[in-house]
Amino acid sequence: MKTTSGITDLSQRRPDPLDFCTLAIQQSRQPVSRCYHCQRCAGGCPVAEAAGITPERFLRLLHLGLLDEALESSLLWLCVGCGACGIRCPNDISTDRVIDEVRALSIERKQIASAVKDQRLFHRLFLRQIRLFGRVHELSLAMALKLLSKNWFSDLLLGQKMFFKRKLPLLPHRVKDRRAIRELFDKGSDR
Amino acid sequence: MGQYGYYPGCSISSSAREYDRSTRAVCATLGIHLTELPDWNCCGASSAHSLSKDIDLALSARNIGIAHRLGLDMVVPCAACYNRTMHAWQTLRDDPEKRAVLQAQLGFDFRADLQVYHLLQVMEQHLAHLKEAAAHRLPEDGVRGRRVACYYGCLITRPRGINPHEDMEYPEGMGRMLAELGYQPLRWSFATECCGAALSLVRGDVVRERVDRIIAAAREAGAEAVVTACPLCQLNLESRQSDRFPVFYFTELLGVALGLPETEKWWRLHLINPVKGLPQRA
Repeated sequence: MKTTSGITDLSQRRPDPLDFCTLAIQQSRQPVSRCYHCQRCAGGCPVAEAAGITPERFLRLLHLGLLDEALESSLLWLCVGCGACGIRCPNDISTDRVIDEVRALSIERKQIASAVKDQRLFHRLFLRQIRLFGRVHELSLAMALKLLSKNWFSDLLLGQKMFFKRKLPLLPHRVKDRRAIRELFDKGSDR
Repeated sequence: MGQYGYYPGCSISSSAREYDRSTRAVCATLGIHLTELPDWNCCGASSAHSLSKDIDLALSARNIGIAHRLGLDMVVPCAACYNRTMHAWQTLRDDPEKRAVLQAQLGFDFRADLQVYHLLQVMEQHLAHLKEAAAHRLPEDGVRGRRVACYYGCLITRPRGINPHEDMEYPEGMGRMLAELGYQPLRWSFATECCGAALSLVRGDVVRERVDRIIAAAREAGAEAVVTACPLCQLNLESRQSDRFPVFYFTELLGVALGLPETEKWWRLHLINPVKGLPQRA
């Protein structure tokens, strides 16, 4: 089955890894095929060292349709979207935008690999808070994250210090028109 | 001296209270009127766009709609909020299809003449007035005139085109402003180096390594303090450094230059009291 844009609609049949990669690249609207692996993005990336893979190599995985490797790479969830890759790139490719698309698709398709799953959890809890309150409540966000990721004791001292400086209010600040916020979320996923 | 729709962002009422207080105090002194956007929502930060472009866009578009209903330019103190709001503003301007959908959904008419500014830009626009107001005040000898490393982080100047007022690799607005007020901003190469941002809770190790490098670079450049313009940069720089190097919000330094009496209360809110960490003057 073809959509109007000529892209194969993958929901209709068994997913093909190359289709997934092509769709992610296309939806990112980044000129990924221009990449000639000069590695200027690699030099600027703040998380490449921790991830053990550079942005240009991640693009290469997508090019080759190596979906499992891309989904399992730590960079997928370690990328903080700082944009350094994009401004350094002589071909104007923002790899962080491509990574966003791979994340969104991997969740949509439930093709989720286990690398750095706690950061994925962080993003999902963050969005859940916005859906619930309209704003982010740092205390409950941090507590939920620490509980669910079983990092019960990390940052306890920091949290305590912030709490006593009244930097972590007990109750969330809420948006009054929460129905409007829920609608944004519901329509957002349809569009 | 101008009126703006103030979009504080979530951190401002919690971890960045001193940023909010110093911003409001400096603006009040200069006669800049801040109207907090009624019922504003979170911009989605780096999480919304990581999972859904549409939710990211709609969240910020709603805030822009609120500012439009007031007929005011928006001012945003946080780097991530500024980035997401600016992204939505540019999409509303440039993409007629999305504009039509969002306008109908959120009930406002987009106007390209109503701008979105980072707080730095607004303060720079009022620099002449700021200088004039500062000239009449008594110098506060602890902080004034210090050698500082101005730290912008990533999202005030990136991606390309998001900020028409600053160079994306070597922004200078904050330094120009602080120099005019008697501080000594230094040249250094880590002004736009990422602090690790939202990885802080999950991968504190990565953030710590980033932050230690930034602090070391500031020290090496001869700075006595780092100056930030973002709640998350500030929180990461203070909470993840292995040192006790002073980190200020730029609005606090403006407050010192203006001789505001409440600065002492701001210092106490910091995780590392920045004034105590300043070296003794020779």
